Amino acid sequence: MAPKRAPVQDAPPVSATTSPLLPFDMGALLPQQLRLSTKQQELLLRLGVLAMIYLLAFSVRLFSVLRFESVIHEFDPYFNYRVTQVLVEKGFYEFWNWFDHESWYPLGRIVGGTLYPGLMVTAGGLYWLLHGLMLTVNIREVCVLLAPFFASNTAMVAYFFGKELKDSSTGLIAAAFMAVCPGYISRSVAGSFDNEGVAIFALLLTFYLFVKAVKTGSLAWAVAAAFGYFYMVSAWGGYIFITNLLPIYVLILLVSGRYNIRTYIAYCTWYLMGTLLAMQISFVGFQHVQSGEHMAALGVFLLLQLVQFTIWLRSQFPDPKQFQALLRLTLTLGLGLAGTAAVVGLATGYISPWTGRFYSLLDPTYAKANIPIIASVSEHQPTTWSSFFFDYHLLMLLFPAGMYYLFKDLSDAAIFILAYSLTSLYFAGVMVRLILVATPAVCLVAAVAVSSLLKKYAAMAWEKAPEESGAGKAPLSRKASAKAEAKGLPSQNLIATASLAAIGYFLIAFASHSIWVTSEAYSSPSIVLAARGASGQRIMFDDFREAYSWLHYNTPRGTKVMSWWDYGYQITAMANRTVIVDNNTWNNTHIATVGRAMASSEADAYEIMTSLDVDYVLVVFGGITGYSSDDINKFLWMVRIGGGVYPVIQESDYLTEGGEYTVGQGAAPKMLDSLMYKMCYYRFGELQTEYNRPAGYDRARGYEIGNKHFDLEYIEEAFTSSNWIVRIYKVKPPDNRW
Amino acid sequence: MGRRTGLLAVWLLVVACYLAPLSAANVDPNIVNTRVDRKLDLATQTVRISSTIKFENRGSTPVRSYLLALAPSEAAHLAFIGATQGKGRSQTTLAVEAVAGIPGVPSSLSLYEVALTRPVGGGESATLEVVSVHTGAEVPYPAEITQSEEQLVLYTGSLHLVSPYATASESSKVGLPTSLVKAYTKAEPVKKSGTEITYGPYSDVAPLSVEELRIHFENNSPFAVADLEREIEVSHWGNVYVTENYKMRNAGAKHKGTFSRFEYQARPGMSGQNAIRELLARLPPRANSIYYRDEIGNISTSHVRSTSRVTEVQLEPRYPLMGGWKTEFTLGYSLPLADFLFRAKDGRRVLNITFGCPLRDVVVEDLTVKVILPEGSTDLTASVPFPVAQARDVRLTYLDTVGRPVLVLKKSTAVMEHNQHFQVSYRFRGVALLAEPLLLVAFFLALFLASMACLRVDLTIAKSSASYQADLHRHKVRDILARLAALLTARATEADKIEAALKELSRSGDVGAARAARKAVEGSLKDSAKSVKALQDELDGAGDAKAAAKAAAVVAKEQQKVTAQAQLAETAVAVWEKKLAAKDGEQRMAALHARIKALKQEVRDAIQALED
Repeated sequence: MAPKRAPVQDAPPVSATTSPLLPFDMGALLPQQLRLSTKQQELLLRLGVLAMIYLLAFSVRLFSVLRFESVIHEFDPYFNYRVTQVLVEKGFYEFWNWFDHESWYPLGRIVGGTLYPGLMVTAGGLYWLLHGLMLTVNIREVCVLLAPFFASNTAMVAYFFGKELKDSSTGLIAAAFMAVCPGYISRSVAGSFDNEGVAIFALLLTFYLFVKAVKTGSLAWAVAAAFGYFYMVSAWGGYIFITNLLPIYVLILLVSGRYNIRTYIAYCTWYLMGTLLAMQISFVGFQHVQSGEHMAALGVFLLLQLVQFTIWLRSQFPDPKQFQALLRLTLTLGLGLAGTAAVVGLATGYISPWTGRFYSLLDPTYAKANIPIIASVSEHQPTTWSSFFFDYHLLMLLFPAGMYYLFKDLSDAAIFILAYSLTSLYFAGVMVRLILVATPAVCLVAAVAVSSLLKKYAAMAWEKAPEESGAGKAPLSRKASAKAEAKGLPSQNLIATASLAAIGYFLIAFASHSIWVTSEAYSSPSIVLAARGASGQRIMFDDFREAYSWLHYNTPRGTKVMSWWDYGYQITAMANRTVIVDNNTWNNTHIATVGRAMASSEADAYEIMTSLDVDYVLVVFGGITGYSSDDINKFLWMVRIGGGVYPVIQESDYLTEGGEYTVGQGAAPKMLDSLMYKMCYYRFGELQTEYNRPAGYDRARGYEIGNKHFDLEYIEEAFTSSNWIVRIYKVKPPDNRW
Repeated sequence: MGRRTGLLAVWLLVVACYLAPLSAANVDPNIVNTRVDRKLDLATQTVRISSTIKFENRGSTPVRSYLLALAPSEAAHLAFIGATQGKGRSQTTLAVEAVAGIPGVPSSLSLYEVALTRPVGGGESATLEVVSVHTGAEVPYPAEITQSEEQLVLYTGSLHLVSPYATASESSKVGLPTSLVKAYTKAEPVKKSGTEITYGPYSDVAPLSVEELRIHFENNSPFAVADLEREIEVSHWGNVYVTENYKMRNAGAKHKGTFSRFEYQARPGMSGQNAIRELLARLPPRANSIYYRDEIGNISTSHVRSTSRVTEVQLEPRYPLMGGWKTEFTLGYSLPLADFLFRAKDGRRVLNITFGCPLRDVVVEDLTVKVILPEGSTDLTASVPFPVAQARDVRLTYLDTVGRPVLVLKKSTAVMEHNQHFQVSYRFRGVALLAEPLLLVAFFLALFLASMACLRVDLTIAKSSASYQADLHRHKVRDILARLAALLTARATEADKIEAALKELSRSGDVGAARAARKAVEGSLKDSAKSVKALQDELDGAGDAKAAAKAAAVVAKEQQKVTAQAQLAETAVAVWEKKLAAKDGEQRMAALHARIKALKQEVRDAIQALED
């Protein structure tokens, strides 16, 4: 008998804090203490998942470092890097007051006043922080890894936003989507040290804080939103999207009758503080209250005052008739005043009209017709469907479903995300680079869809789960089944499970697509070109750095290098040489002058070049490697931009009679005589690029060039990189001519 | 007069005392060079002159030292001078020291004194091998060439071995890189055949006879000249990190006019002949983590071959260095510590590593070697086999608190012959190795402690505010509910023991045991019921009616379940004791089982709901 009693006595005590059952059994108490309640388990799981998402968002962006090296990518990041170096080496005031005489020669550029300093200050701050902790990292590493770091942070903000939108599981899914969505990765891989890297974080943070402020009506959240906005303004010109979206959102709330005092507090606090803060950025300054793009925010701010005033008035007038009369009066007066102010402001030039960039956002055809310099940039082209799918994949399909769920359960946050996603998707359609701005919205909406679907099917699938023992006898929980309305579906568990499996499969497919896109398409630094050789080995074309390095070490400091504006930032950053124009493109005339020089004959170009004190001219040429985004393929834009300012340059002169653009047989004489043609193809006619092809066969364009044998009179070849991608010519001094 | 002589004598004495340590030897007239064979190697930018000198002591006193002299043209470019005696295994390196102020020797000549290993007695003879390396002695002439021209250089040196002693017979062989020689000093007898010019033999050359030798010839070997800063960082975790920053230039004839890539690629042998196309670094074996980069990133044109004796890295600069072109790059690698660090008997650590530049055929104009020792190293001393300038520095880097001691050694004009081992010895306690990990541990500990403290400290300012009070209240209710849920879960487990006992009963048929078990369970349940009641009272006291109702509902449900379980036990016992018909009992028990199952589920859900 005794042994049978024993298990009863020894059974583990179950109570945790109040243990009246078996208070003597202290030794077995510990595992009970450690056992987590469901809630704690959920919290631990959630934190674990978040931590993994954080790591994933960071590490998936490191492909570029693994494939290539820890290096700054592309064009603009080189400028940011150069400025950050100045900030770190010389301190904030030197940076803020920096006049860069090495770009836009002979005009120069006031760097501190013409940039968004958020990115550089963030990188510099991190650098100083790490050095303060005695982690003496190189500033380059900080810059390279900044974007992945901020991508991780953005994923965390997406979590909170998703939580606000629906629940914490939506937040988790949103964070996971945000971490791997190619639309965001494209701009935030390691090395892409660009404004967008931190700006998307700031954007989503501002939105989250504002939604929170609207929900709670708390001043603290509204002030936080204003600071988020300040960070965004300091980081990227895209802040204008916030400046216009928030008023639109408030208007929607107003129209849909959801407006209340909380909205008023949130918006007015954000607008006033945000404006004051934004004006501290010298690049924005008074634009924030004067330019046309910012007027919507001001207008809605004034409107809210009017609305709130009216509400107050109504509470003061017991007679609705009196109130109506007064309302009409105030409305007429208020709108009349606002209208007059706007007209006067516009007429006196106090309020500047919308800029071309803003117009080109609203109207996809505007840039092509009016601002060739914007239209010439590939990332400003309208988005194709394929790139939507490429960047969103599954999310594109989930998006409408998410919208459905959001409409079904409409809240202030849901309205916000709907307004955000619809507007940003429009802009994403106009300009391919703005896919980035729409990505957080798409991720959040898709996360709502996934989480709703998962929840529904999981609930259905779970009901099946019978009791662990005593099979058969136990009746199903009828109540729950009834709730699931599964009367006509005897196999609903199976269907639910299958649906779950399908969703799981699609999510996995999305993840693998994202990883693939990241590793194949978005991780190239674009200063090093990689190609596959005949036997499958990887060939690196490192010509850009070869040429920049040559310029750096073999020309005196202060040498002026003329090139098309695309390479300006790289030349100043990597070669440390003065350039005539760069990627800032603030002075169209200057760029047009360079375009004109490139399009002119050698003698005419010489005049222009000597007037600009040019020492060297640099062109990018892909005729040997087949690199297609070279200067010959960009040449028509140079002609157009040059012709836009100097009517001597006519686009039709550079086309064949059939209106075709070619440098081969039958090319226009002006084309063959242009400086650009001569610099690209100097002595190319003697070279056999491909077996079984005649000498002078251009591999980028796939035909033989039109004029193979010519000499240079005013310039001489100074350097050509090993694959001929970069060719540098020295402008001969006048006395050297005979 | 007497006073004046006295003064003169004192003055002479002072001068003599002053000069005594410098001029240990006078020119011994009894030494005669019986045979001198010189070889001048002009194949690269550095001129290596190796002379085999056989001399005889015709006096009677033994000779302990031998004097060497260099003509001004040679001395100006001298990078290294060394002497050895003997051949093969018995070869010994002799100490060579610069001396000055030897009577009878013009001050324009530089003198070096070689200390012989063994005195040469009267009538005996000995053989010395003297090697001197000269840089910059070959001057590009013309100084500027175009891409297609070859590089011509003009060498100016000494036709004879300048010796303070008389030479009986002397001959020189000049080795050239190619057979193209524009002009050369014709001091008969002279013979040129192929890439070699032979001067001599000359007999009875007078002491200190200086005659200029000029050769104008083709030399396309790259004139790679660099400033190098080597950093050797010792980590006691197992690595020696070497970082070498090169500022390199082609010191040959300057490139003039255009640089045509077409010419360079299409006619490699005829174009850019003096260009530096690639460099070869010979690193110690087991060198790893090699990188080759510059300010703007990795330079992808390099190849590594490693054998058990050497690791060879073939480096290509980003672009070919034409004459006068410059570039800068960094070569870095990591070496296993065990190969380079030793422990002396007195406990000192000794780092034994090469001094010079690992690149072949590169003249280093300014060589700085920085040895960075781990934090906590003390008492540094360096021993280098040739004179260098020494300085000390401190570097603060990753996780340092006081900084790492740095030994800075500087040497100008270093050539391959300076690529010798040198030693740095210092004291280091192994405990210091733990400083940095401990620092990290302490930091994270502090971080966790701080976050723990943060979570537990109530920083609310307005403790009387309504929202704070409400929050406090909510926490209290939640806490009670959580405790209640825990208690009910415990009760459920306890009650389940009844069923377990019944199972046991059906197996063993021991009715007594089942009864006893049931009694025990019921006793403990009764006890815990009191606690449940207490918690419910507490909840009532908290004044949250909603929560109290919820709790009451759960407790009632739970009570139902317990009752049903008791009934089950009663029925089962009754059946065993034959008080009840088996069939009836079975039926009743089945119903009870179903009821208990449903109740259990409901109670579990309700407890879950309490926790949330």
